[in-house]
Amino acid sequence: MSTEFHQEDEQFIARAKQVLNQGVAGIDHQTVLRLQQTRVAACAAGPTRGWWILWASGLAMASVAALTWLVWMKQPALIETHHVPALEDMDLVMSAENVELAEDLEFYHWLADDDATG
Amino acid sequence: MEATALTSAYGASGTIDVCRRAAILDRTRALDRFLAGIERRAFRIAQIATGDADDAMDLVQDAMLKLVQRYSTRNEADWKPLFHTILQHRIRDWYRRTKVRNRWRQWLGKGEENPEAYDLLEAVADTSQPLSDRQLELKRANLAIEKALRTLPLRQQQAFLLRAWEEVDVAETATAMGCSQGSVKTHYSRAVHSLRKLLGDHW
Repeated sequence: MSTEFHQEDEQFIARAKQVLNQGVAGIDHQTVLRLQQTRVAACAAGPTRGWWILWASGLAMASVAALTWLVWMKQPALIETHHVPALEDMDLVMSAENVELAEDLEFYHWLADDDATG
Repeated sequence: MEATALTSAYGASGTIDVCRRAAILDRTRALDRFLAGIERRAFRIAQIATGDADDAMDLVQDAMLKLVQRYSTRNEADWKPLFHTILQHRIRDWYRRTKVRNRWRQWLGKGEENPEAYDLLEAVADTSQPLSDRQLELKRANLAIEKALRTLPLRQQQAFLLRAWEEVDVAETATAMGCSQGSVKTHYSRAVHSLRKLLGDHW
């Protein structure tokens, strides 16, 4: 089917336009009032924030949440590696032999120097 | 000296604020003018598409709100194609929803909602004044074209109303309808030929 219009088609289109415009003029008063109210409400609503601001806010919040989660997940591992060996060493530190060792530290230094000098 | 500096600073910010408010007010007025000029035809387009005045009002309301909220900062020249794009999207969504609802109704045995049940006579304003022969003839012609338009497939109806009535160009109609320019030309041509056939030469 050709998309070109003949003169009769053009006349028909012009007539249709006129009739449709007449239909608009015949819209009832109540509908016209409702349309006016709708328009005033829409204009009063004003523009909202751009979609990219919402996306950026969402992305920032997601990043913070991910970072918090990562930090929280890493924390127990740190405690395990640093604190548990320290607790294991506590027995050694608290034993009576180690207290004596600490008291005779100068003697052991002297012994070490003596060994080194020969 | 300090007081003078403060006053001039306040004056400058005050002037900027006033200018900004004036610009917002100008834009709101321009939007109001634009919507006032298009609202009735938009309502009729939606009413012809849906066959229901309340649904048509909802669709126009949605289109107006979205235009103001999302695109009011764009150039005024862009508002018309944008508005029609939004409205046509809304109409297509309405068709999809109605189709799904009708399927459910059929499945539940309630029968399909008949869009033709819409009484075209309801669309005629009750002016309570005697109409001239010319007015009566136009009213009859209006009812006839509305009925004929409602028998067309949605795409043909959209193409005809946008191209013939709203005088939107092919490219903008294609954007509004979400199809190619070639499709717009085909739909429009088919619509014109179908309508001429339906309405007859003496319409």
